[in-house]
Amino acid sequence: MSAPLSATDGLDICADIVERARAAGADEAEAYFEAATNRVVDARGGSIESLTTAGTRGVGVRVLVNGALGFASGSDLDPAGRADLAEQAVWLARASAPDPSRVLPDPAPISAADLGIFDPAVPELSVQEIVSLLTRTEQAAFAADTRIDAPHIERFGQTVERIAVANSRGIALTTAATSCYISLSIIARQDGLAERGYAGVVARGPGGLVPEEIGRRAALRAVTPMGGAPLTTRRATVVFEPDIIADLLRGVSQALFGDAVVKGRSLFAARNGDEPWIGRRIGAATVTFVDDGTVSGAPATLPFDGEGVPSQRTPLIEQGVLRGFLHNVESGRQAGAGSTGNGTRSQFKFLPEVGGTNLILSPGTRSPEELIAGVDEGLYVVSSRNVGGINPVSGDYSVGASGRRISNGELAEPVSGVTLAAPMLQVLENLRECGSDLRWISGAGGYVGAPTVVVDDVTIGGR
Amino acid sequence: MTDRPTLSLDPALIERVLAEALATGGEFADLFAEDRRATTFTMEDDRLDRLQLTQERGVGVRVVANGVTGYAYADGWDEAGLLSAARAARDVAHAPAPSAQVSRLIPVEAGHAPRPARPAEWATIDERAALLERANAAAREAGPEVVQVTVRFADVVQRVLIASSDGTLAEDERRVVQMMTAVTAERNGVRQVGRRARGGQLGLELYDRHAPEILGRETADGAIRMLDAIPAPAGTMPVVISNGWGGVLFHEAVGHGLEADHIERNSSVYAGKLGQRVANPIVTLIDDATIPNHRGSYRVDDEGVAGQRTMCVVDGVLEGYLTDRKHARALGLPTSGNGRRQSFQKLPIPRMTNLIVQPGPSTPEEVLADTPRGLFVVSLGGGQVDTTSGQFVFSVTEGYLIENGRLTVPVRGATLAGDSFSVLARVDAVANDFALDPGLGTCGKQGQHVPVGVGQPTLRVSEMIVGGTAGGGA
Repeated sequence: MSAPLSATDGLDICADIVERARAAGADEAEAYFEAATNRVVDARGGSIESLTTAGTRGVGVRVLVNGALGFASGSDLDPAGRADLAEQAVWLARASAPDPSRVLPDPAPISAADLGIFDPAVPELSVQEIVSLLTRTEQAAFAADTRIDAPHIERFGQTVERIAVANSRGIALTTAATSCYISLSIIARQDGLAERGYAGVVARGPGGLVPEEIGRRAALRAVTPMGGAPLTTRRATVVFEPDIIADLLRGVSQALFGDAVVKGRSLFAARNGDEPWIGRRIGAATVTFVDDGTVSGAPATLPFDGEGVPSQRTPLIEQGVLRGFLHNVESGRQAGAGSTGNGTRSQFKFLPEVGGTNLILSPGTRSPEELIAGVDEGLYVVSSRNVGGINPVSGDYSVGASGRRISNGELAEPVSGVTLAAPMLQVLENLRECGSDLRWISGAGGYVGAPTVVVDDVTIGGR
Repeated sequence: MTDRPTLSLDPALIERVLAEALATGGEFADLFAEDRRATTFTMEDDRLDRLQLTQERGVGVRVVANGVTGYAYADGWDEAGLLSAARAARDVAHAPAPSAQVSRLIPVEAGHAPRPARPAEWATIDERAALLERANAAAREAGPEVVQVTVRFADVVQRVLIASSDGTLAEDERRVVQMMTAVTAERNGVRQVGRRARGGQLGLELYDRHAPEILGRETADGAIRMLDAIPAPAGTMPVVISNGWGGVLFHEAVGHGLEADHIERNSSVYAGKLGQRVANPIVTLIDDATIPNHRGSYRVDDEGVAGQRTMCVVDGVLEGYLTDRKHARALGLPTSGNGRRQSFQKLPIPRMTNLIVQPGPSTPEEVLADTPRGLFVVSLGGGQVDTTSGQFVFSVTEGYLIENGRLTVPVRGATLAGDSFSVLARVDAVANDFALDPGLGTCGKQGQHVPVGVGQPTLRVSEMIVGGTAGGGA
């Protein structure tokens, strides 16, 4: 059941597949290997509900034949399976149209610094230790508020993985990483009303999991909208919890993906006759936003990306001025720039697509409490529902939200069932202040490091 | 292409694996073997590109001992792997319990898996490319505003074998095809993207009936229309939801709350309400896994229970929940064949299949004419619900203002918000134009994504919160 995690295993398999692909007719070839052992524990009230354990492996093979791309992936890695993958990739490439921007990267020096991405404590965790982490999380939620009634889902998950990537230009890289997470969904009840609150954390090792904080945050999200009603429709100042602004920042980052910009699927796509976006002011001076795949111990940090390009720090917005886009090898070539080390792969099954690593909004100096105290009239948002209303092409931002009204710098009555809407760029322009409480937020489309923020002039849709 | 694999495992081996899983105690064990092959073809910038193929094969073994579930999965399905997964699942369940006997395996009685006339995986690359080209050309011809067209064709063949210690033995073959189009339109610096899809559990003959040209053209026309969109109004108003994909509203607002895990955890607004009125009497809601060739259908669910038609809400009264084996047992309810999993790497949980709203008496024209002012929703994007509070929210990808009973201007950036009971109580007009969605739905729950369908006639909700940026002065 255990995946092989020796450094040479993955590299040997990759090298063999690259060679087979070349023999099958590929001009260039790349193999990306992933082996993982996973464990998931679900518990409630201190007892285990289910425990899942597994070891899996897989390879994705990318080839170029006369400048055309083919890709095949699979988990059957015996010699016959490898030969199949290599041949299928070549067969698909032969049927595709050539594209001059399709190249594989050349080897480049990879930093030898310890990035803090492998914590040997992860594979050593006992089931008892895991259950105890979950119990602490649950207890913190119960301690936070008397209205907390029952846990809905408590989950711990861990992964120990080995990644290897090799190509016919001489790249041969491998690394190992660990990660673990806790997520808690908890139910609050009062006077026949019920609400659910969710919180989660992802870290490289158990030391980065903060069960008490997760329990408290889930409880806060469950009880805050309790008995709340929609406000009347208005425009007002909104204080966003880090998780809420993180969704908007992901939307902004998607508009900064080089492939979207090149293909015109972005707010920041070049338009005839307009001044270039780079160098333009697009937000308040409070907004500094970077993508950094090298932050030690951060959730998306790796020495190299899914194509074997070194990870780096890329400034996106500096004090409100747009400074850069994110690229993989292909979009970098199309844009006449280079790869920024953002050829991300969520799994071996996928081609290296442009994606964020650790996306960070620079924090300010004041606590969330101080930020709220500075708002005369507005809304403090602690949970939101993003359902595709964040559009990196049109720049629209629209989500469902709940929280508490702010009146004269104090939290007032609960609010639920409202919507927030504003053009994305208007949010950046009206971002009055960032708080000091930066934290990592996981989610589809990159890890975001964000603090609490205050934004003026947001439309609140309600009664 | 490689030969078609068969997923048949030797029954004697399956029985050995189940016996191994229960060797140290446990009341139940099952095995889920899966072979999945998927190909994706993309056409972008008028070129065939990004041809991708993936094949995965794996098996998961589950052991339930004293209520604790142990689960282990592994790649492949050779004997050594199966037995070691059985032992690993047994070890992690490791609650001392009496051992159940493995019953003799008997194939489950269920309907037939769809038999495509022209299975996608047998089609040549050129045949598939021709379909993409037809949609692409039609989108490009829609107008000078079209700046970018992406067409993707994906086909998935998933073969599963399920066996359990109570004697269940079932196989299923699910073949899903889907063509997706995304068109970017631009005028005067304004950009909009339109997206559409057409798919089902059929072969390429699906596109004889639903021409790719129509899909491409409709997607482009939608994107071009949205260029004239004004910011959506903000506030409370009547909302008319068009037929077909509009049914996703009920999938979120109601369906998730009927899933038995939420009922068992008392985390649904529908817990304890069987037999009670939960909606306006014109509302009847059915989860139907038996609709031939639709995206959410199956012969058997991922626990070997035959797919069924479950009456959830009948004339406004709550009549049924959606169960998997575990929660049916816990609640003392029948198994409704709704135990589903994303892949062999996940445990089954209760999920919807195709959730449909039955038609009513009005015509869609009457419903519209009877609405002085409001929002007409053609297409919804994503939706989300909190089953505990019943609060849900949706994004509107294509919508129009209704003024004096007629559609006027398109609106952009609208979100719909409401709560489960209010929306069911406020459905005040249901038309007779029932349609299934075009075969595009994927539902996410607890990190697991499965294909689903929805269907409904045009209907009106008398009052919903619409979130936009217009109105609501400073």
